[in-house]
Amino acid sequence: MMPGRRFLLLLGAVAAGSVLSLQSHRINPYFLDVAVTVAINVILAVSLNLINGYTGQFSLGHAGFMAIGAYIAASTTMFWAPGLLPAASSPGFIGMAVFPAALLAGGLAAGLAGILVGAPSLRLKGDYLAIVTLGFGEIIRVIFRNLESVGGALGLNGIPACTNLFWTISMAALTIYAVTSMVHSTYGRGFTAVQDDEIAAEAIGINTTRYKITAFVVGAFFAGIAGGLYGHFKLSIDPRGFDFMKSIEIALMVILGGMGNTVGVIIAAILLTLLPELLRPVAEYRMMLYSFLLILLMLTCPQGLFQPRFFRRLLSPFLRGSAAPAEDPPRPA
Amino acid sequence: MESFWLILAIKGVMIGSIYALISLGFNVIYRTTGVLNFAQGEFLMIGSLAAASVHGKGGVGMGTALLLGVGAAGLTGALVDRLAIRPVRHSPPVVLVIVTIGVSLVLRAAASLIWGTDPYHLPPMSEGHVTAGGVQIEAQSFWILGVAVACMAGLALFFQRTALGRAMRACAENPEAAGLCGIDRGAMSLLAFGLSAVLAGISGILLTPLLSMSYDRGTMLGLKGFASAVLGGLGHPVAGVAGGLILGMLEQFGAWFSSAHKEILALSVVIVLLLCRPQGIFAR
Repeated sequence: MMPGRRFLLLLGAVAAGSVLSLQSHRINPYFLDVAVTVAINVILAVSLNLINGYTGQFSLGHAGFMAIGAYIAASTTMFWAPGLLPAASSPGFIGMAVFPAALLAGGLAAGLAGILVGAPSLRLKGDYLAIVTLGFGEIIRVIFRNLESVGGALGLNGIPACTNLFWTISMAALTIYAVTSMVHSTYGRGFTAVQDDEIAAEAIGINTTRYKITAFVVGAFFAGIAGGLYGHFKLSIDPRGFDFMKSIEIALMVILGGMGNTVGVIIAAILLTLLPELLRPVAEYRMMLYSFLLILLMLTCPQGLFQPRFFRRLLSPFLRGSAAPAEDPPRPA
Repeated sequence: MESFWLILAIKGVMIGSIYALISLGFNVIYRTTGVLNFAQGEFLMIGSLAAASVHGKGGVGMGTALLLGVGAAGLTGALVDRLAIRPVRHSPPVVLVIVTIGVSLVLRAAASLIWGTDPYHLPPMSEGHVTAGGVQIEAQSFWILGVAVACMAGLALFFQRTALGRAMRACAENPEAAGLCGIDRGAMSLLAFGLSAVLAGISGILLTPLLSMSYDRGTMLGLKGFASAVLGGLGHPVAGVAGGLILGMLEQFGAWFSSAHKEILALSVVIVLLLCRPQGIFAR
């Protein structure tokens, strides 16, 4: 895709977002809710895809970044901005001027944490990195739970309702635009190089350290923005909302969509957000279904659903024997 | 004041021996199959809840309940190996880790459906306490210590002296060669998961009289067992036991400073060690 076309798509999405937002009183509130949730999950999944998919690092702490974004953004609109500018506490001003700044602040704070969490990726890979990022995510959550100034275990309530379709759709489009532009640029080929073969990438002069940290920082930044949107949409946040399950949910979207496959990941994020809505009658089994899905995916197609190979495998019983895809290469000892 | 430190130390050893047992379970699986099993804490939880529910609600005698609990845990372990681990045995480690995390979530959800979300209790194996040095020590503590030592000794004998134990070690040492020698690696993996789940079930049952157990408590305990194993160096069961005792002590004395951040301690230990000394603190 040409960069120009990509940019036009971004503008189109922002325009569509503003139109929908202006007409939002005509939309069924339930659909509005679902649409906002879908967009937030798309941001989370696409940003994690930069780390896990394109750069090949395995992070299981995305909910931690989201928590940082949510808490920092909510603190900005609730405490810091009214404290700095007492006149700025009118809802309209908060919605138009303070909210974007709050989102940015949340994103930047999460990005900073991304440096910290990304640093281990320089020394660890695979399962060990997954464990360390998981640990970081949990530590972030426990810290917020013990922070009485933001409500501790009870959570933070009374966040102004600033999130609307315009902000979520625009931010989702911006995330997709930023990530795809990055990885499809000359500079961005380095991410894929790090994923494909780190030693070879280093040998041809790619600064793998910089790419890994960049992936973590950019991924965390957008997760932070998603957190800010989430907080100003739910109007209350509590640490349990950002637990390990949330990280797994996001990781599942990336795995389902196929690591490093943005379109697949977007489809997966949409599907996995709609699925629980459809399964509402059996809500208590939701987590179980998710987990089963995760295991099943890992057993059958760790490469993700949305690629030709999966459909070939699905159809292979009906095709000739030669069409069956090769088995995965054995794990190196 | 002296007795205060003594109490902390004794508690540390108690909790530490539980962590040591969980870390042993981790190492049994890791050494035989190379899998980092994140469902270890769930095996523990299932063993404990199964025993507590048949004892409390079913009115089954204590001994039978314990056997049932340990059996339920072992069976779960074996099933997990057959249904989830075996099909992906040749996948990269990340895939295996995700699968075990998925398994732990399934087990957690299943447990919350079977046993509900309320905590369960088990009475201590024997009532009363012993007074020594001005400190009251609960009888349950001796049970924990005794069973933990017995399990460790039994396991050491099993791995050193029996043909089966040696075959399992061979699988860890060199899977290809072990296969060529006629060792059934699938069976060894099954055995490792069963054995490790039995160990986890035992530690869960020992722990329940001290802390109550509910469907979501296993994960954190499993993580602590993992932290102990990492502390000692993954794949070194004896060092892992020492790691468990160190972590137990650290936690008790750390809780004296700030109980709120107790959970962070184990996680921080894991992160710092994996980064700085992935071979464990005892390796030369």
